[in-house]
Amino acid sequence: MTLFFDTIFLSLSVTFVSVFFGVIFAVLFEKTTLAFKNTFLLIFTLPLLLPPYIVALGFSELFSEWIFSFFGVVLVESIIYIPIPMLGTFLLLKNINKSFEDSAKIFCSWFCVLRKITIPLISPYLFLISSIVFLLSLGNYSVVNFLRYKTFVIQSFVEFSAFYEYKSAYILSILIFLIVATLLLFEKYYAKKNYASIFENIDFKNKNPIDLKNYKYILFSFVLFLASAFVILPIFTLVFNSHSFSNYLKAYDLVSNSIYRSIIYAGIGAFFITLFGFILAFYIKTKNYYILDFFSVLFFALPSTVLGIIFIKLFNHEWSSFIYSTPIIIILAYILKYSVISTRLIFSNLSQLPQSFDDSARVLGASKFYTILHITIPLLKNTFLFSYFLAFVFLIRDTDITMLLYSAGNETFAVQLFTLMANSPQEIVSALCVIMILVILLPILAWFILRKIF
Amino acid sequence: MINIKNITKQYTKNKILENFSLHVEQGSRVVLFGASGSGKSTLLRIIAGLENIDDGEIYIDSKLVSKKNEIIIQADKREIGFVFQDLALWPHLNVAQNIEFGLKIKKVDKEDIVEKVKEILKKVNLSGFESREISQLSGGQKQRVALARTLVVNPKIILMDEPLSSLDYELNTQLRQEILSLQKEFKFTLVYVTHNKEEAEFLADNILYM
Repeated sequence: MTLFFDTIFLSLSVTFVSVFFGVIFAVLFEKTTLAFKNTFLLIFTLPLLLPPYIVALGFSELFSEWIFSFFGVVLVESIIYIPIPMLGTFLLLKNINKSFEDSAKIFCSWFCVLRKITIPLISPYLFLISSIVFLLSLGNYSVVNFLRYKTFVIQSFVEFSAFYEYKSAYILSILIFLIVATLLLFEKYYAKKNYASIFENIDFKNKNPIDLKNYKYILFSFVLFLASAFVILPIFTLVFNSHSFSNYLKAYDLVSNSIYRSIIYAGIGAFFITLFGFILAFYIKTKNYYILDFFSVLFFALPSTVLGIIFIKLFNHEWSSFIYSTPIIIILAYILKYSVISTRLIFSNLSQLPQSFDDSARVLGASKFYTILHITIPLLKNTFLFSYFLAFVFLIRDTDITMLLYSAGNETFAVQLFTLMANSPQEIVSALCVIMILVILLPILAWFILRKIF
Repeated sequence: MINIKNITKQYTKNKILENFSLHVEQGSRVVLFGASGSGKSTLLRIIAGLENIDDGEIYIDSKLVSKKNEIIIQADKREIGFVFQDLALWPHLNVAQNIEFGLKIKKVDKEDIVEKVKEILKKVNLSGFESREISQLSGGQKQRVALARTLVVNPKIILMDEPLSSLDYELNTQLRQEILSLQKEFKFTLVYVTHNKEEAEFLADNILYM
């Protein structure tokens, strides 16, 4: 029981630190005239896109023993999860109806407007974002495992793998089930009902950002220091420790097969996630099947260890060996765990399409299917593309679920790197991490190029 | 009262206002009338200090408040009221909390705040609505709360950006009468934006076609 409460305390600490810095960064990057704010936004987003243990490894090479402690875990997990409240708050601040703030600016300064109007207005959504960070931290396996810190998730995994015992996994599942149900009810019946109107924007964008005046140099130095300490330095340490180009060639030889496997699994998985996401989003919107939304969020929130145990229980039979002993089980788990990304993304864009688009096609005699094919899908093509690339990046970086489910000869790059970390020379491991960073950055670059073309 | 001298405002390559001048006398009612995109709303935001200008100068009470690329006196120091097109009533605050916001910023005594809120709600025919949530109000009631929130701090100038555009004809007629009565009672300078000719002719001392 002590371990259970220790884990909760750890996740709450990670949530507090992530949300604190995430909100500050979002305000600085969206609301002010801070120099290089878009570059900083990208830098602070990077840790979310990398396999979590890479950030942990970068820090362990910087700080050695100190990082293997409660504070070390809080620091590393917070850096990994800061992008979630940062990007979430950034989007909320960007989309909030500017006249709410303008009407307060008539009475008081920008700081007062932020404190009394903007932050309270978005607070229900901030609560939801904080809860996502809490759930992700609660279910994190690879960071706590790498930093040798015992949590309830580690316990549930050890109990299952050593003794085939599910008790801890059950307790975790019930807790997360209750949290997810509460959050979705809060979102549907409180946040959306009372606060949806704050995003009904008319035509004024943030044309007058907060002028930082004399504080601009201090704040720039502060953000630059944090970007260097949190992201640039750990990654630079990996590049520095890889020593020479020949180490990259050796590293590539070791993992070339798993890189191709990763790309193939992620490519197939991202396609089905986008397709499945569209189908779910369509049914949630047109038929109000909110139970589908509940399950997609639940599977995302469940720790990978628990989801892995469910899959093993479900498919570890003779009749299903074509699933259990092939990459199909990995791809199925990807679809179940990450569908929420495309479902939420596509649902949000689907909801913004005027009903009249659909109606006018129907009035002209188009069938439902024809309307979806020729009106809805073409209108959402950019959303599909974005959903595909986002899912692709999440699948390439996935370690936790793949580690539990891969069979011999089917391991992905992220999993192989995680296992090589334990018994390979430091310079090879560092080179592998840099290769992993490049593998993840390439599809992001591709997305930017394709976005310009389409 | 308000003296606008040769101002220019453009967004990217689109010039919204070019070499524009206007003089508004104290206590007068000026209506800016024109089609969408003619720069009416932008002009109000510039007067309020929510947007800067690319050229020219703006004076309020003979004080320079805005000049080229610089807002000299910020919006909260201009003693101006603004009723937005979408009213911008904060949904996390109830009716009384919305109205008393400006009074609290000015550090008015708590007892005076309660008194002033009660008084202004009576003036806009919403007595007893103090604890109502914004989401529970009708369109006309929201309009009155927005007016009350603006009037309660006793500004010398009130800017209104198509505040009645979303209301039906009957309510529109009733509320424009109330705005006129309140202007005569409080004697504030009114700069009003509309694209409704009847509304413009009813409210204005002077109509500026843009």
